[in-house]
Amino acid sequence: MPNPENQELMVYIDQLIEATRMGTMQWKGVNPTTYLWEKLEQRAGARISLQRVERNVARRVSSGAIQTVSAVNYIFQVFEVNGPQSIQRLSVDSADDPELTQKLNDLFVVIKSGVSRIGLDFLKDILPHH
Amino acid sequence: MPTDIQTALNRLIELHPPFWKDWGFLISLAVGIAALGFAMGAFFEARQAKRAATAAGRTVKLQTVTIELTEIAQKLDRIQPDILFNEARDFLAEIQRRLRRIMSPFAKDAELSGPIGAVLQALEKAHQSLKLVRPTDPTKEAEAPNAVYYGIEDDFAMINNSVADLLGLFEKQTFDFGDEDAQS
Repeated sequence: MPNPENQELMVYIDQLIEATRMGTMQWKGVNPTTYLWEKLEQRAGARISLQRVERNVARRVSSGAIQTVSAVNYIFQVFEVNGPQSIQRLSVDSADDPELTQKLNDLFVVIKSGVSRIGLDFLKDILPHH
Repeated sequence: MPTDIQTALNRLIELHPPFWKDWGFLISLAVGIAALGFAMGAFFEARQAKRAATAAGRTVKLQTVTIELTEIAQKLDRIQPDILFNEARDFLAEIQRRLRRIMSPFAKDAELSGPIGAVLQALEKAHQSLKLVRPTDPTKEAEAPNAVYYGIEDDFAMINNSVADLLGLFEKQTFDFGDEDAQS
């Protein structure tokens, strides 16, 4: 039975995907597998991070033996930022909620593509035009 | 005449008996055989003593290795979620150096080569995972809290498990469980 909180979260993730695709949310790469979006205001702000992690999962194969395979999971976190302090408001690990994995993967792909697009547009701008 | 010659020969033999009938020769032979026996006995004792000394040395080495592996396992247990990239990189380099030094003398050991391969594989995987969390801007690493930990925790757990397997095998080798007796 689907978790109602996860259903609601999936709606918000869809909105994030759409906003990222439209360019109204611009993410930045913190490291090759983690992206961050910040909304910094004078009094209070917010920060969202999405990280792709590979984990080793033990699975039983047809012969009955246990084999370790690699599985991709996502860690989605939302922080409230008050100056130098940040308070974690939401943390989701798709290893605990597998139904979120595909949705977070969609978001990750859109973010990665958007960040690459920004880099490519910058490169295009600085190239000498003939 | 032939009778005279025969008599002369018999007389000669009586005066100069063959050396193997000489008591002096027989005593020397007995002493020689006894000496050879003692020498062979000493050789086998020495060989046994050498084997015992080698086995004792191996046991001491295995116990030292066991202690070092336990230290590494305890260090791996203590990784904190707020670990930064440079700390994780230094830590991985340290445990890799120590593990390789400990394991290399046993790399061709039939019983240990499999678990040693598993440790090396886990170390390689951890290196790959660490590359995936190398910060773009090290000064802003804290903006994504625990990102390094999330990226490497599983691989470090895998290293820890492999080290624990190896530790068990090393501990086993320091005791005689009678496996060889059971097989023979």
